[in-house]
Amino acid sequence: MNEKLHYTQIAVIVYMIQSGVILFALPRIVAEAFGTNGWLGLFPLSAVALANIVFIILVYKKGNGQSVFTILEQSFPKWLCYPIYLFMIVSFSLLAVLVAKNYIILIQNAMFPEVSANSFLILFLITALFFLSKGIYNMGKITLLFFFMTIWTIFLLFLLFPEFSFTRLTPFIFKGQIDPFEKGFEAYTAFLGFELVLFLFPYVQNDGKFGKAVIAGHLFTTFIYVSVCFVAMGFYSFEQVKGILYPMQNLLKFMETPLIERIENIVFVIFFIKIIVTVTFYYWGALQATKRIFIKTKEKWLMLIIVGSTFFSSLFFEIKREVDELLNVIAILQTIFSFSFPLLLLLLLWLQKAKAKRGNKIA
Amino acid sequence: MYYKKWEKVSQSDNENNDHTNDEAQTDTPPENEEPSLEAVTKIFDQCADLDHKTYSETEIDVIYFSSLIDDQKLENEILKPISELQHSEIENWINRKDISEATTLKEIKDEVLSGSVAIFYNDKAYYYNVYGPEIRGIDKSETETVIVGAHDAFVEDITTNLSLIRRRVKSDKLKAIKLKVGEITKTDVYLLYIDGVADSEMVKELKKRIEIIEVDSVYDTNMLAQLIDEAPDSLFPQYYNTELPDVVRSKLVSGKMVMLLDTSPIAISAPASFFEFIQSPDDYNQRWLIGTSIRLLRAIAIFITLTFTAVYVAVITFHYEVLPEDLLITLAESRARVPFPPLIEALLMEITIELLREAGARLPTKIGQTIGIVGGIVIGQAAVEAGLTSNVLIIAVASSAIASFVLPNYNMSNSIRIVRFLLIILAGYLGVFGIILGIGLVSIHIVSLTSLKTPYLIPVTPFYWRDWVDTFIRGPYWAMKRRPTQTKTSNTELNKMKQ
Repeated sequence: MNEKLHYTQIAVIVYMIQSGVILFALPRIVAEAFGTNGWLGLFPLSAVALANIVFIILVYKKGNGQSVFTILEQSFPKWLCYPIYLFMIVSFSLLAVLVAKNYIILIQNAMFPEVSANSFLILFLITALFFLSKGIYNMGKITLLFFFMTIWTIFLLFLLFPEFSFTRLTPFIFKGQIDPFEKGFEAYTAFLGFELVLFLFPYVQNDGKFGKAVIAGHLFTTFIYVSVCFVAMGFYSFEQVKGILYPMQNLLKFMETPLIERIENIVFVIFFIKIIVTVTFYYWGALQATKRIFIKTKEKWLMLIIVGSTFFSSLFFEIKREVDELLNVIAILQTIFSFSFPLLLLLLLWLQKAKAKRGNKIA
Repeated sequence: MYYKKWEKVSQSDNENNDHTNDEAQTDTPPENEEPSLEAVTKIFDQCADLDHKTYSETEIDVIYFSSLIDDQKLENEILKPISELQHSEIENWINRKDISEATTLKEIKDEVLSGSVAIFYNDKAYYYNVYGPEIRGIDKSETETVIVGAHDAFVEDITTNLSLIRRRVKSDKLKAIKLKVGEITKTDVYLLYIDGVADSEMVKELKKRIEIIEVDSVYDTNMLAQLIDEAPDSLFPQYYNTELPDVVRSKLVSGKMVMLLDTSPIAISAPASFFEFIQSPDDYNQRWLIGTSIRLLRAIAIFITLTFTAVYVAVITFHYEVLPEDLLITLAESRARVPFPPLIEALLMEITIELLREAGARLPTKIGQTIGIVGGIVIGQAAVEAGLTSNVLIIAVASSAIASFVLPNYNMSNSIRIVRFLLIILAGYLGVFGIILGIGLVSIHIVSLTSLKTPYLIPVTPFYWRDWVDTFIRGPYWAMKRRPTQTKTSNTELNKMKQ
């Protein structure tokens, strides 16, 4: 049976990889980056990511859906590919473990201050490993289920409508102390994750909807981010939102129902399901590169080694600040990678085509 | 994968091991031999229930198992004519009555074992089916009750079960493949499907899986299901089992295959989806809005069974803050005298409930009621008064137990209950994080399950919105226009198979 990833799955995968724990902090970040009505600043950021996505889709179209590794290996000798693979393995798997650790530290601080974060991290990584072991097609299906299990949280925003006021949004756009580069970049990292679709090429249904699906997923993420920031900025005043580390978490604290209140921790925990998708897909990306280097080793062992070694390397970063700093560095590398790698591939494809043409002429 | 193991074994057997069998069985005559009276009596040596009658006048020998035949039928159709006939009339009688002749020893042996009477005359062997052992009458199902709808349920006799299905599907397209399982017991299995609706590849696959089973005996269809499923170590049933011919009919017309096993009152159908297990024939007999509401209630029941006690444990242990003040006071009062941590308290009560359930199921109905009273009133009330548990916990445990019985399928309800224990333990150590972790792990597992190579969680993931009309909701009949995607049928449109 020829199993392939359906385009709805692709869209959901893109959304689920992109959106993560940063959602809780995003209103503050955009306020710091763009000032008043900072939620509007998400649109140009989303456009930048969209441009990057268009490159990726071009690679898919020009390369007729062949795997990026094949494109690379057709032009470069193996020894030249290995450093690129190594970079992918290290940056993807480190990003995965750090995203996990970042989330775990938040959970541990909020709920279990007396327990070591690493024991939680082990549980997290075991789940990720289990997830990863199911193979890409099942991962697609699981992601779709997890999407259904988490998407309802967005409707919690409706509970805040009575408190929402347009006057708090202020009539000014992008005023106040702004930092569009450093903080703007931090907000941009919220969109990262789409670059992983580069590795999905051989597994997608060839029905021409791949590009639309990726864009749809990205636009959905943008929609969620914008609506969350919009609501948060109409709920808090500008100065207030800048002063709260996780404005969304505070918002959730405010909600009350007769049976349950202060659901911020619970919703925070439900984000586990989103984070696990992000983490697992980054590990999967790293695994794809690893498989190119160690062709004969069994996949099971490669997974164990990747997840295990990243766990041990994460032990060097115990405080949230350290994790954040490193995450920032990797995010920069990742952004550079996600722009330059598709461009490199496009160049290679162009060269290959030119060579083939010349070959035809000579023949 | 269990069946895969056999696949390999049976392949290697075929390659190198075809002729060794004959040498091993030197005692019994080779099975392709001409059937003779001596050979047959030798095969059935020391079978005390074998009857052997000799009519010296006409030189006829009759052999049958008295335990397998219908006495009346044997007397009227075989023994009486034989005793009245003259020597010359015998040949004529055999022809007229259409009594079949056996060509091999194996054939006559198998026929005698399936309830035929073997007739030896003139160095030839004939057989005539007079099968008719005592069977239980058709009765209501004890485990699957239907309120509005047909009440008849399957019995242990496969012919009766087949007749219950044939009565409902009067079509020449209803095909029944007969197979045998069990190396010793040779139990009959029928694989039923509707030709032109069921996917022929799936029928082939299922037939192959049943054929390669190598066990001494298959005791029940539920065991058969475990022998042919893809993940034998999973907690969840991958084939839908039912005692109701009505359900079987609906499975057949939707393009699924149904297996019946002799001596088992349960039919299994494949491929199965997780959501089939929250469906009951009642849903289809009610008006659609009512059917839908009941089905949604069952979905909520699964959720309550899985999480209610676990959430109690998590909230009491770690997350007091989520409770509103008034509720918190009530809870705190009820727990004030309890000396155990919430996890122990919950596990104690859950295990007690499980004990009660198991005891109730094993005891005769009349004593079973007593167990209910002892358990419900005595233990429940006394445990609270003695200060061993809190009132609120009793409510949580009881509601999740009740919710677990709402599920129409016994096998699935058991699986869900086991998962609940996992969640309670995780909640005791990790709070809500544990519950979500547990749900995540179970979800990953359940999504990757397959039933006959089709996804188990279809149509939620992979997503087929058309099939949702008969999943969580029971859509109106005008909206149910297509057969489920899972069946892979090419004949997707319902109501278009006129003959």
